[in-house]
Amino acid sequence: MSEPIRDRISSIPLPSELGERGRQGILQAAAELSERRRRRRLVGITAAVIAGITLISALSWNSGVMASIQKALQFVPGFGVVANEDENKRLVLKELVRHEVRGGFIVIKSVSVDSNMAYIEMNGDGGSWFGEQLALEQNGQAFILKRSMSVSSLRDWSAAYWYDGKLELESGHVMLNMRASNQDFLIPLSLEYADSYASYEELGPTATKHDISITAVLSQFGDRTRIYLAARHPDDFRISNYGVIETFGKQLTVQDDQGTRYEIEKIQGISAPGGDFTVQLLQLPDRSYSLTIPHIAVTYRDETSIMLAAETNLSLDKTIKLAGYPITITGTELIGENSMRVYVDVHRDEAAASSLVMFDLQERSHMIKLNDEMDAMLYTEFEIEPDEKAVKLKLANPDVIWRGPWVLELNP
Amino acid sequence: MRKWSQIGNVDSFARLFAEYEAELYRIAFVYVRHEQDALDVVQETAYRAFKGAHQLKETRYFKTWLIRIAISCAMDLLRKRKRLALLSAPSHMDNLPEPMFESSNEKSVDLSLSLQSILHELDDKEKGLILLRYYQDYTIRETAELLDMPLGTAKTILYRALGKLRLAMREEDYDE
Repeated sequence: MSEPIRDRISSIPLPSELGERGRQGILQAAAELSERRRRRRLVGITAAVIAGITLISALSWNSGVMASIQKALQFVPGFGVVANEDENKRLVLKELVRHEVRGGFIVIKSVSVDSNMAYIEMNGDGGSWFGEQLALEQNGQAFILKRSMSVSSLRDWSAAYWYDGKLELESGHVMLNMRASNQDFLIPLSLEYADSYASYEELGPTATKHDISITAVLSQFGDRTRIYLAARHPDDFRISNYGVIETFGKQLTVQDDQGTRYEIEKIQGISAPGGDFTVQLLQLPDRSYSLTIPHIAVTYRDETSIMLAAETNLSLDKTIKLAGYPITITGTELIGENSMRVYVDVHRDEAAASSLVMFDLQERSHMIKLNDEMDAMLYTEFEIEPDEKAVKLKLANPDVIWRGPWVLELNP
Repeated sequence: MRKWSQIGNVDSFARLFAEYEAELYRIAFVYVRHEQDALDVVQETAYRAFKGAHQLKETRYFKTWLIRIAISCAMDLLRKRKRLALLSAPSHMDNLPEPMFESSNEKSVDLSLSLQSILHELDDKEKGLILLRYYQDYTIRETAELLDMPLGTAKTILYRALGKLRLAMREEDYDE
């Protein structure tokens, strides 16, 4: 029996990117270990990038810092709002660049070149792939940018590259030289100096609720309108999702004054918290458009621990707090020989300004079951050792929804 | 024997990992039945393995350790697919049928086995047993230990899996 089974399994073809994917996993782990970052693996940006470009969207906007400095802001399309520390000297890519490759496409979504570093972010579909480095070339000189971060899923990928130092460019016309999907590509890019702004309101329509202010920055991408969402909010959380795709049961909408809703196409990325997308508006002179964000998902930086007996007990009543939100453990249940389920009440309240939806268990592979509305966790289930008498659970990364709506009038 | 210093270094680890990635990919593929998902499993295996390399006490078990991680990753991926759906029914352990074949019958099967049978006829536990026993050539005892299950249970599941494959072969023959 062993030979035919071995033969059949050995006949499973190996995809060309197999080696790259293994190495990618190792580099990802190595980067996390060396940088000792605690943020989640799939949404962070590298320490190197943080050091070079400081996103200020999470700065406490009540501090008055913004108001006190004229033209203090610059917008890097696809990346976010940054402090203008080197006025008018930052080169950015103002329009998306889409490039067809064999069997797929790649999109250059963000470029920033300043006196300290260069940063490029791009994405692609499942038919394309990305390499460990790329080059920006001008006048026969090549600057090598190394990959700093990448994420991938079944259908798409995103990757960020950076150069530690100043690129001596004579103009904004550069050639991107990269190898993707076993092909070499030369993609011309036209970089322009970033515009400076005195306030978020100058950047675009802005709406505020619960001390969270959201601004929509509009630009054109062919016949589509690109909308980038930037926010100011208290700095004890980060925004993980604006609902560009359905998040915890709700999705943002773009519609006109006739009630026509427009289909949204998300632009994948690493650095931006899911607030970059395009819509194809009718562009009729008598139409007005609005963007409605019903709620946003945020993640707090908090964790707590609890010890629970590894037993079935469906009448527990233990309440703990995570980021100030109560979580009541209502029961535990042993499932089979080596799994345990913990039932929780996260005290969902649709009338509240914010609610805890779910949390992670640190150091344990686990599953989560949400309610039918997809906005409140019902239980989590994880593996235990057969002889484990008690389990210590480390609850972390609480996901919370803040309810709006934030309604922004769009003037493309 | 692998040295610890080899495993703790990115480039050395990558080279070691590359020696086994084809087998890991095929093991993952048998579980998840999808190229990109299997690649995700390999990437996640590399990620978890490098992060947990310091936990590997004896480096001669490096490959076995990788296989355990890969199976765990594959199972996690399968669970994530169901993450927002109702979780699975009671474990297969509960009402196992009596062994369908004695161990001497392991060898007495013809060679017309198809890959589709392995992928589609077996449940996840059965795939694990078949992969480790016949693709990786572990003994039934080692296989049971790798999958954290009692030896008797492993035998029962293995024979049940073989029975399913035999049945599938007969049906394929009949269809032809």
